[in-house]
Amino acid sequence: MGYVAVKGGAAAIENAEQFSMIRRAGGASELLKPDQIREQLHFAVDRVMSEGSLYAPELAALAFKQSAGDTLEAAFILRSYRTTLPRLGYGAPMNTDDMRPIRRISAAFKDIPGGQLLGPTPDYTLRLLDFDLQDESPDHTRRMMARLFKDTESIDPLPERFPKVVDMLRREGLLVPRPSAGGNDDRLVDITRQALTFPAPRSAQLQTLARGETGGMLALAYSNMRGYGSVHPVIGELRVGYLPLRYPNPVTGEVETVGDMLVTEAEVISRIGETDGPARFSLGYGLCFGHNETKAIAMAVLDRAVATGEPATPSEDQEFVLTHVDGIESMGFCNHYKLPHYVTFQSELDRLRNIQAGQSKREEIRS
Amino acid sequence: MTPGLPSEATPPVADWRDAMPSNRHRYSYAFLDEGAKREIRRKMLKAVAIPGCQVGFGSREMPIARGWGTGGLQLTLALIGPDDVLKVIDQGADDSVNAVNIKKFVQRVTDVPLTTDTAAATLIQTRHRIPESPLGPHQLLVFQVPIPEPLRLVEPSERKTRRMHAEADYSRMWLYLYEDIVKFNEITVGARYPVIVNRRYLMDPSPIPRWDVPKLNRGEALFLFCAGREKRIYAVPPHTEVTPLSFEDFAFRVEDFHGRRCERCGAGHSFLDEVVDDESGRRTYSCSDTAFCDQRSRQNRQGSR
Amino acid sequence: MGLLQRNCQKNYRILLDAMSRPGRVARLTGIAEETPFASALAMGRCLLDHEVSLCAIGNDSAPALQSALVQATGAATGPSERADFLFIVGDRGNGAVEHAKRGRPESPEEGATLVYCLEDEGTKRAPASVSQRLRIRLSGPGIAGTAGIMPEMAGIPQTEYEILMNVNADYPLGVDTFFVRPDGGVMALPRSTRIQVR
Repeated sequence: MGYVAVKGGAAAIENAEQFSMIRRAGGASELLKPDQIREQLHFAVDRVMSEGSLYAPELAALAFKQSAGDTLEAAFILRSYRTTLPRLGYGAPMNTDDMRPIRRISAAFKDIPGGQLLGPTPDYTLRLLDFDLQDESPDHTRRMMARLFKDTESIDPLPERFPKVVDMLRREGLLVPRPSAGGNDDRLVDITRQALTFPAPRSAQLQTLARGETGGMLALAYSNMRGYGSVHPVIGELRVGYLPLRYPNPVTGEVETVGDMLVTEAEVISRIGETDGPARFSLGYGLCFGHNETKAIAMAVLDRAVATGEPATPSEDQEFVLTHVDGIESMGFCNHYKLPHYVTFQSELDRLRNIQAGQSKREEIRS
Repeated sequence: MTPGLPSEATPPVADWRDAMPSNRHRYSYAFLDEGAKREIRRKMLKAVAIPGCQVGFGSREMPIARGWGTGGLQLTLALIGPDDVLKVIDQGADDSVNAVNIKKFVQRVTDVPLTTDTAAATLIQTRHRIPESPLGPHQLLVFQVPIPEPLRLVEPSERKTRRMHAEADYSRMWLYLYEDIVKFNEITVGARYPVIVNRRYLMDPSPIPRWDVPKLNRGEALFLFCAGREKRIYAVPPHTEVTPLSFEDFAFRVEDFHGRRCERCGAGHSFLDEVVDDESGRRTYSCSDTAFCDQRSRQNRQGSR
Repeated sequence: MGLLQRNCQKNYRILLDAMSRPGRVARLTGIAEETPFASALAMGRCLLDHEVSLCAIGNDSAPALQSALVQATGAATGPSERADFLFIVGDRGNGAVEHAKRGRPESPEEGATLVYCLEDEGTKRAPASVSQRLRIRLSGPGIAGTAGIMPEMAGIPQTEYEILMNVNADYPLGVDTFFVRPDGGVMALPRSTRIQVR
């Protein structure tokens, strides 16, 4: 029988699941601990949280371990866990001016109030394969840390808040005024509670992009920057830092800080806006969980790109962008083609044979 | 049995997750939280009230992948209760990988009894088939839908297809079928044949074969459809007119199995899977609806005794 | 699964069945008849939460029902013309039904759900109302045959049928209606049901 593989029953499925676990954990090396992943593979953890749409570093690390390093799969596991969590309430709106940055740069100005803060980034490191890491010793790291922090006592502490670069432009009247959070039609929607309708309000747009898949968003944004579009982005400000999460105390009703979370924020300035009135710059906005600069910039570019009135390219078409950036959806649909489709195929076969029979009959009549 | 796979006689392998107490009782009855169930329940009522109309909903992520039946699964979980008996089929088969997976999950979070017997089920989740034996008034059939929009064939934009439904403007679909006939002297749509529900909405019946389309018309059971990835629910209530699109001179026709029978049970009037024997290239046929085929085979054996 | 959760699931299936078979009476479970509005509350628990809005209108006890529903479900309240769920205490819509949401052509499902909370048991008045019901004919999806049926539930004034007929004249725009009795009896009239008054 040809279909044993797909009609193999419960035992084969269970085995497949266990084979996959053995392939991950059955080797000779030491088993990974989630806290090792959380600390040492933090970019992966951040990506999983952002695409999984749940800020939970420990759980994201666990999902990454479980999926053996497949970020799409890990984000998917985290998202489906998210489904089971009840919604207890709504936090207070956050102002990203309150961010405690660990990195903050602007490409638009040489120097900015508060200064350029490079922070932890591999941006300026030569991408040479570092063979020293094969035998990385804790001593070596400790010596490096001691050297780095030797002079910190003599340095002024960082300010609590940094002024926003784009606010300077805004004060000068160089930016298109900030639209309300709900966008033009002022609806604040929740994309986890209602299906998208188009044109989608900006709140739905930003939510969709914030949980989008990094690679997919990068591809779309890149197509726009390269020429299939008209956004010529200048990074007004890129920040990575901790945002205080504020929530009303259920007893007193007073808003309190209950924790903080690492986010990346990108504000992209694009050429003169097309709205009526005086010529101004327009802004694209990107924000995502964790440290993921590529995603935040791609998001800001896409946010700006879809604001174009008449879309001429895929990345300018809001519906096109928003319906294709979700990794959990696109991966699921791509992989569902592995499921048996033989009934559908039988139906197509029947049509094709019928058409061919009809054609040859007509040819016979002709000859 | 394929070599390397344990036979049915092997004692069941203990689930490795059983060893992890933290996993047990971590999830609520039927997985979804009550708020999610209520939303899906409200939307299902609207879908029944406007037959064939696609109702948007806040589709939740499920522990099975998008495109693998998350829509059908969400409906099943919002509907199911301790009095239910569940049947899950894929391509007509009860033991296909996807069906087994979904069954396993639903049972894990609800403990409902499972069946393969179509008549014994109160709730049936299906991918790509409608059972051969007619369904009764107290049965629910939940379809897994990959692409809920029948107009997607002619128009990629959701915004535009919504408008077309609002205006009941299905001219482009008709034109598509007409061009098909001009080109091929035949309507080439195989499965997923577009239908009109209650003389108003054009509806995608999910990728069921044309064979199953007439079963939607004025049935006894309630048919519920859900696309998880595309976040749409729609329904065909019992006793509702469902007509496939067709022209007077090009009538709708189901798949032709004329002169063919099921190798196993001898059925001459059921949707057949074509099986190619690698050795001889010979083709054999067997019922796609495995429960139907099993029942007939049992009856045959009893009859011959 | 808790008792409340269990009743909601069971009652939902009954409501779904009612909506699939317009004009037929189904019966909600777990209804204590001595509690006022028990049927309406059971429906509310099953369908309402903070994601939707409701409005109760009708006679003097409407405000009491509204606050009971809000307390039990956390639903928001709103004016009758914007409410997702419109609860009508008694058997008269008093002008509110005509102004209930009917949805938009792109999203007809945004039309309101109406719940008539009939106060006295229809069966008690049955002899008088059969002749009246005989004049009503329902047909369409969920109803077998083309001849149509008479609504099974008694005690609904003919004028309300006429109002619903008009409100649902622009199908698929319209409202979907449940009638509930204190004993848990429930009958649905979705907008797809064709109402004829002879």
